[in-house]
Amino acid sequence: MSISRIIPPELKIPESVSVLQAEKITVSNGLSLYVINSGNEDVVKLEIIFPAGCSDQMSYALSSTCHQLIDAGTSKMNAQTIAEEFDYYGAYLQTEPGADFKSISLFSLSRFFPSTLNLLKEVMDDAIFPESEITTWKSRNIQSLHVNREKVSWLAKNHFNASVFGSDHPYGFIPDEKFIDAVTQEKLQEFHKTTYGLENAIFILSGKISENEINAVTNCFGSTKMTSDKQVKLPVPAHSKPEKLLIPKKDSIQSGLRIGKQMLPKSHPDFLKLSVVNTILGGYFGSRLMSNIREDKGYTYGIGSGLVPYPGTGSFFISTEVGNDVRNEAIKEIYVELYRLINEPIPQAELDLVKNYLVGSFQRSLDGPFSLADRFKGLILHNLDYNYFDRYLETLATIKPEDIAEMAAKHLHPDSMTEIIAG
Amino acid sequence: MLQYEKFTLSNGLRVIVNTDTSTPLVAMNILYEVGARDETSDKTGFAHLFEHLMFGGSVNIPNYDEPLQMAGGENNAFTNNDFTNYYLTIPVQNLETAFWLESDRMLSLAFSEKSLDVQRHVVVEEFRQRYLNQPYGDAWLLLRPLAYKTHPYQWATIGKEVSHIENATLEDVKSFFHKYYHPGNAILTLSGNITIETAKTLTEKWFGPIPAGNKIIRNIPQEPKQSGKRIADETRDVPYDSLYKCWHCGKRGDADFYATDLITDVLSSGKSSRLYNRLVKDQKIFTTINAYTLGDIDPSLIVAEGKPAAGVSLEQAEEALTLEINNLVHQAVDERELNKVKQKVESGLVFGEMNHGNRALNLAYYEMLGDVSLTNKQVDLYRAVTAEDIQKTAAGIFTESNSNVLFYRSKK
Repeated sequence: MSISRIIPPELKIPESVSVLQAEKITVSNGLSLYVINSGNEDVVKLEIIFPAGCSDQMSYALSSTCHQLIDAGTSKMNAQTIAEEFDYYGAYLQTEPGADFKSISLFSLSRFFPSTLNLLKEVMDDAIFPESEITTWKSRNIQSLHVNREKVSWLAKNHFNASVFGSDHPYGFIPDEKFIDAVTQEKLQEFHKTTYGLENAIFILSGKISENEINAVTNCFGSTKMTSDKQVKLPVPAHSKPEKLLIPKKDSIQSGLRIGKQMLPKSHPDFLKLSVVNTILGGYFGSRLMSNIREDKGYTYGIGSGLVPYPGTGSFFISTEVGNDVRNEAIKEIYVELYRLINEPIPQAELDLVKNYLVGSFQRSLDGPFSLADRFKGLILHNLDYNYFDRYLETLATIKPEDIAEMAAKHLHPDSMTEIIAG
Repeated sequence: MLQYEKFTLSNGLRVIVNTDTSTPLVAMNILYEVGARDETSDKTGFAHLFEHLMFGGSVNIPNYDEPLQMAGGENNAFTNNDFTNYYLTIPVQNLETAFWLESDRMLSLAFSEKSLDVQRHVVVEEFRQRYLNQPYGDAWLLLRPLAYKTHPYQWATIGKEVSHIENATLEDVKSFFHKYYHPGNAILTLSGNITIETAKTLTEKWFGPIPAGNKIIRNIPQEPKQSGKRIADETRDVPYDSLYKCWHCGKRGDADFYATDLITDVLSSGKSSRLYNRLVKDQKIFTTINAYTLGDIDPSLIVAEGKPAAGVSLEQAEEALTLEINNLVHQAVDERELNKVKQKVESGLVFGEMNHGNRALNLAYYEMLGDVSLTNKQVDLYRAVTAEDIQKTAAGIFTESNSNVLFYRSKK
């Protein structure tokens, strides 16, 4: 069979993408339980999300420490016993502390789910934060803080957030000894009492889910009294003036760069278009930043840009690590790329490529039960529903070169950027 | 249980397919049996540099990434000491694009001078970013030559030194390609929405015409048995001391691999593991500690690494670590502890199978080890390990004369 290797095979871009939606289950005590039943493996993930907002950096530090130490002991079991139990079932916990939400996820083989779930409930309800565990946690965290301070990427990232969101806002948090020293058993116990109420918690159950798994959840949590936490609203971060900061790191052979600004929340009408602009600039391997600064000039191992959404705001950033000898050239090229987005219409072929790539990425992000659960979480935590996905595909289908330039001019002007160099 | 079918093209390309119609995607994995162990000591880091060049255009297609992205696909690659792996996922509608791209770069590369020049720079920056400009980043660059005196595992995949990468020539690139990048030295696996019939048609169409290469005869110098403890002492500008200790152990294909792997699980898998509870929490000798085996194709290493707590010297830390590890030699693990680590392994294997990319990689990996059916035998092989196996294997590994210690000291 003779084939042409010069002419690419014909492409078909799927016009619609089917999304398996989460189903809301009614529980007698009013618990918010959502179920995503998908996949072939006998596994379950239960994520419980608590909307426990933090008013300042200290409360964020304490709230997240409380969360990290949630499985450090109960009145009946010490940390090792708890770990033994989860490990014995091959189950594991993942805790995600955040300034707006904190979540705990249980991953379990289905056949052990009722047992691991009961264990999770006991651990969450009866956490006591033993002194010895706090001490171990402190020494480990002090050490990792000191190691992190040696990393230019860590320095650039943290100082960027502090600059963009303000050094007293939880989003601008920079880990520091003062936050570690302030942790006491009493404070952790207080945060435990006030930030884990079920009234506003969201339960997302995903995997191969049958009646058995749903019953396990309702048996375990369905008769628990619904308590409500005091809802703390995060302060609105001030819009800081763009600044250029050099964080000195002596003897470093590379510099960490982070350039960006405060940005729109996910619910803003421009956000979807802006996410396409971000992809063009630095959101995939063939992006303009990668093509220019890595693939053409060889200045870096990697460069990228991203949008980080928070409930009421967000951030946009470009980040890379480059050799000190080419640092200024790399920064110059970053701005060249920003101006190019604003001043030159994107060639249709490049835009088509990005649109196709994003449809594929969207499909990948929905592959498997846990991915579906993550995408659902990304909607519900930002007060969005599944229509958002339709709007996304609609945006990909209709976005034009003029939209790209308009969005870039409106939101990504170089003069509006904060620039952090660590090195 | 992962269902799969295997067939081999006449040019030697092995193909394995796992069909799952519940996904709109297909994962494709191509494993080339070449890694840093195939390099010579004056041209290290080459297998990895070469991986970068595989993205610099092939004989008929000037750019690999663009057409793949145009088709909605995503890809990446990695190199280790034993093999080089390329993987992608793509919407099923555009599957043929993946066959077109991957077969063309197996057929031949563009061998562009510009691509080599740029990727030399990129890899040098990678060397700096990951190994030289990270605290403790060069530990493995020190540990490997300490543990291996003969075998090429003595250098890391990034290479021994930056100059080896800087000096690579287009001639080197071409001869490397012709030696290692051909159908008989590759394994193609697919997982996702593709039937065996489609897989056969498309592989025959795109990969069938690629000429078979010459069989590779490996003459890798094997490491003689170590006959005395080795210690290296290095000082760096890092905030804390760090201890690295490793012991030679068997290879991935040995029967006792499963016992070896469970040994490191008993020591350090999860918050209930021995090293964490005894050395971090009870005795407060370390603040962090971790142990693992590398599972290489040739005889491999078990490694323990940790940072001593304030006021504890590296020498004291090593002594405490060795004492704790020797408990495995002196006393059999109890049933519950053994069951625990086995169940954890099983769970990890089940969770790992949820991802089509992982499935495709696993199929290729076990085929490389010599038998794809090993994919579905892993749980049983781990289950079969007894407490006596653990003790016997530990006794064979954990002797001082078989150990290598790196004292990585803080300048402060």
